[in-house]
Amino acid sequence: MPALTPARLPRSTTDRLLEGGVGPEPLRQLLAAAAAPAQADELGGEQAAHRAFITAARFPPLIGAAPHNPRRHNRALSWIVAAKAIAAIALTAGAGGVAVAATSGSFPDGLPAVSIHQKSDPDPDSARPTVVVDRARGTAERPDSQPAPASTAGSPDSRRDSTDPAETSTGTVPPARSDQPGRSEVEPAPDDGTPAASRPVAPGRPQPATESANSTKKSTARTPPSQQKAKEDDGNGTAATKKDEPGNSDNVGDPRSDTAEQRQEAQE
Amino acid sequence: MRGTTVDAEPMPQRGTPALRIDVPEESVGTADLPAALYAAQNGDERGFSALYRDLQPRLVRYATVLVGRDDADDVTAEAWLQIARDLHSFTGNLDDFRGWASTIVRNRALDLLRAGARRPQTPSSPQEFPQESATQDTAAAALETLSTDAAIRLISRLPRVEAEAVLLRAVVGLDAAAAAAVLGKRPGAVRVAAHRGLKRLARRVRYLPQEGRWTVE
Repeated sequence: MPALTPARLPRSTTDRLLEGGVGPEPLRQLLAAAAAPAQADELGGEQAAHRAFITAARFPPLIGAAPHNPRRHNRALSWIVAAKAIAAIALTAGAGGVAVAATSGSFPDGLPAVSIHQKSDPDPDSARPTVVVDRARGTAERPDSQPAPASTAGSPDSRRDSTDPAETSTGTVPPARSDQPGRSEVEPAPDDGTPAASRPVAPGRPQPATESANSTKKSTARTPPSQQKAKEDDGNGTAATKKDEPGNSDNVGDPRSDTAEQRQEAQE
Repeated sequence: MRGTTVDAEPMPQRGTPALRIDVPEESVGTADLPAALYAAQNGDERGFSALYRDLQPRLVRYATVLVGRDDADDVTAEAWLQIARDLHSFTGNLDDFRGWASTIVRNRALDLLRAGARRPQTPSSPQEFPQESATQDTAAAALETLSTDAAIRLISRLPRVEAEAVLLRAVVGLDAAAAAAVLGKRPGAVRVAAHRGLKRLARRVRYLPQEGRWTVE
């Protein structure tokens, strides 16, 4: 059929066919059949559509209800995501700063090094901040005050104690003791091999507590009643904090010096 | 506009009482559809029925090209639910309404295709048109007996873009710009697609003079 050859179908002809105009008869009939009036099976859903229309007419949407705006919704989501990202970065930076601050000198291993540096200062008052730091840490004093000379000989703290007992004693005891005359007598003569200066600053340790309790029994006759209380407290470790206070500086050295004298007497 | 007679009367002003339009069966496609659209937007049920009877066959055939005949009814039913719900907020004339409804149908059909990965049903080839008794114009007589379903199946065998362009323009009744808006393309691309589709259809329609009938390759 010559009329249906594609070469004879210019665009103007197809445009006319699509708009219902004249053109090749087979194609025109084909398009007419495709656009024929409605058939019965094509209108089967009219009742459902009619019910939906009635329902929508009876229950219209709220007048003030904002229509769904996906672009606005996405914008709100982007703001939320950005806020979360900023909060995460801030928390990470804060945690990192805390970690850096913690590693700069708050670990137990780093504390004695600070004490040694400050003890090299000849001024005894300059050593006071070291003591304050030790007292504020409370439990952090335990690694330094644990004697264990044989077992912990490899630790840096024990090495410092063994090389220079005087520095160790000033680093773990209140600086007021450096003025006590009986202190030099205490350190060269330890009873059990441990540095004597480390015993009073070991709160809660059973062995030094019992030893100091025994020593106080012997020295109660020679010590005044005001100092006996400090010696009694030495057994439970509360005296260690009292010694650090400047007002109790007189009472600090007495129990220790008495204990050392009693030990010397016992050795003799 | 194919299959629709649109009067040149001005649209009634909003706020006037809803029109009551009696739409007999035989007058579908020739009623005052712009007035019916206005009446339906104001809650008139008859106006909505007139719109449905005019537009539903076109939408079903368009959906058949997209998802096949079996799912076309479901797609158009869902589309009409949305049309009935949002008709009060629609703004535009009758051509805009047809384009809007076609867009809804297309979106529902594509959703169905994505969900089930279904493919439209195509007729087996070759398919013969129903044979008609020989007359002086055998070709015209044969095509006159071509059913609507057979014609839609022929168009469905085209590439989808071409089939949609032909359906939207020749069956739904949209112009090139409105069809381009439905398809998300430029009007020139829609014209080219429709032209190629018709040329492809012309190649598939063959006349057998010795047998006196048309066949489709």
